[in-house]
Amino acid sequence: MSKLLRMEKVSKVFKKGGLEILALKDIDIELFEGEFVCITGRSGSGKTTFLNIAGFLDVPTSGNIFYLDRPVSFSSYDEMTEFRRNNIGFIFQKLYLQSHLTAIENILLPVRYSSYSLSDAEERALELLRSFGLADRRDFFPSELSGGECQRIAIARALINSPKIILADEPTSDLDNRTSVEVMDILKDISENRKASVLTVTHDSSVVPYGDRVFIMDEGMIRLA
Amino acid sequence: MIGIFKEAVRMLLRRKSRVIPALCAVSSGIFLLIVTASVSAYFMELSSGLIDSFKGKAFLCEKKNFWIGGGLIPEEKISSLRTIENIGILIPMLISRAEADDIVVMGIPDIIVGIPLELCHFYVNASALLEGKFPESPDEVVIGWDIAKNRRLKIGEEIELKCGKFKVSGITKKTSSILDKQIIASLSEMQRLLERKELLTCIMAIPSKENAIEKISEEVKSKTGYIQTISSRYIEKEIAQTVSFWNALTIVFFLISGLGSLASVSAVTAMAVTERKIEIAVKKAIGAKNKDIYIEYLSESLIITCVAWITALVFALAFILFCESFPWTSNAAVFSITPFILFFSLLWSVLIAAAASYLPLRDILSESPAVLLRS
Repeated sequence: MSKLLRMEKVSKVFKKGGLEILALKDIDIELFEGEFVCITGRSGSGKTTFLNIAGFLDVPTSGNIFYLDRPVSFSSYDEMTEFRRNNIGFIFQKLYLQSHLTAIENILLPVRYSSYSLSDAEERALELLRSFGLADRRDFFPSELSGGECQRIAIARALINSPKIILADEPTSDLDNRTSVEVMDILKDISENRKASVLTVTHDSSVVPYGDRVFIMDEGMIRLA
Repeated sequence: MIGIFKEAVRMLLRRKSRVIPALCAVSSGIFLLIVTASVSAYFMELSSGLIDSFKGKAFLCEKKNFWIGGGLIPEEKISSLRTIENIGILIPMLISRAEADDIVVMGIPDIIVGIPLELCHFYVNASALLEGKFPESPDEVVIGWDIAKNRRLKIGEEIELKCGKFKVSGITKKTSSILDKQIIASLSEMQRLLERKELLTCIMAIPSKENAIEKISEEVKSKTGYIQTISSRYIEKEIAQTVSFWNALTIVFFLISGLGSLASVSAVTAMAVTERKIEIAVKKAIGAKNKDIYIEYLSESLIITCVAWITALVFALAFILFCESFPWTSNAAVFSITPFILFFSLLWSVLIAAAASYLPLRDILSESPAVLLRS
């Protein structure tokens, strides 16, 4: 398996007023192609900050990040956005589906900002809907869908640009046990059959068995479980 | 480009519950802008009318005459004035409202001016008659161009005023001055009808020596005591003051309208951007560049502004028509929505909307998506 993402001595400090908060401290981690990695830890341990940096939503205060063994640095937010759009798919904790868009429009949202053809992407979105058992929900608005269905739409949105890395922030936090299992099965399937690496942060212990490797995060530091 | 706007329209239609209040607020701002701008234009028209009058279009300010007035003047005073050297022609007048009995000051539209019939041509002076003739009998009158137009009167027809009925003998040429809103009637007949026998409201003096106006007017003042003289210099000063007042009022109205529309349009647009901070963060996170988001928001703002502008324009037209339906505005200058107001209000609104969406967006877009999502 090739090495997809590598973090080397990554730290993140938040400054507020005169106060400095060390959110991440010297993180060293590698993510391989098709791997399912779970990071667990208490609330406030730095999981979401770690995910934001791994997903290039934020920049580290110090340390290096490598993608396919090449160091990653950006001269602008737009450059970072373009990299993220082509390589990373996000599943947010609160999903953040656009309430005024239908299921298929939500899935296609990342395509609107890319150079991909919308008609080709539409075919792909329909295929994702079918594979997630939501073919008949394509024109439903988020308010008309259940929590599990919304979660699957969010996963489909993360997959639409065929990214190499899927980052999921607490993907089961608002779901019942049965739906949690369904969602985790989908994520596992993504890593195994779609050759995308899945990096998920969670404090839900039932998610842990899905991980090929499991890390524990505590006070901004990470260690293998 | 069309595709972007089509998409923006579709998105706005989906968010009716948010868009309609925004549309109402923006429309109110633009409505305020259009109405106040037309009031300002009205003031400017009045002001420019005064300036035109001053430039010699109106008999009042031709610098060839001066006025003697101040309360009701006994007609007998005329004989004492005639002894002044170079006093020239004296035109005794009784000025009243056309539709009321009370005596009024000059400048009020539709006034009736009683003048000895043989002196009518001196009074009308350079403007001359458009058609017809000066009155030859007490029941005849010459009417101003505006009165003829507004009341659709022709030569030989009857004009009915509160003080009585008269036959139209002539119509004066359009002068764009108060002469257009005057009715010139027989002095003796007006004195009889208004029960002001041998009384005058003013005397117009046309000195035989033009350059002696100031000197003669001062002499009139010293001889008559309580009678005030109004010379061209006095009128010049009065008009300058009035024009400055109207101009100041115009500026105040422009400021009110500009600031009012600025406040409402920018508040709504800025609020829309701030409210949708998370939406912006998510769009950025999933791959939208700053340029994409600017275009999306700008096109939405432009659509809302243009729809609001049309709505405001319809309401402003309705409001102006409503105002014009009142009798007190029928003969006065009307508020009108000029092409300049149309262009200015649209441009101003679009600029505000663009600036109001750009400024908060600029702040939001300078942050990373992670910071925005955390907030």
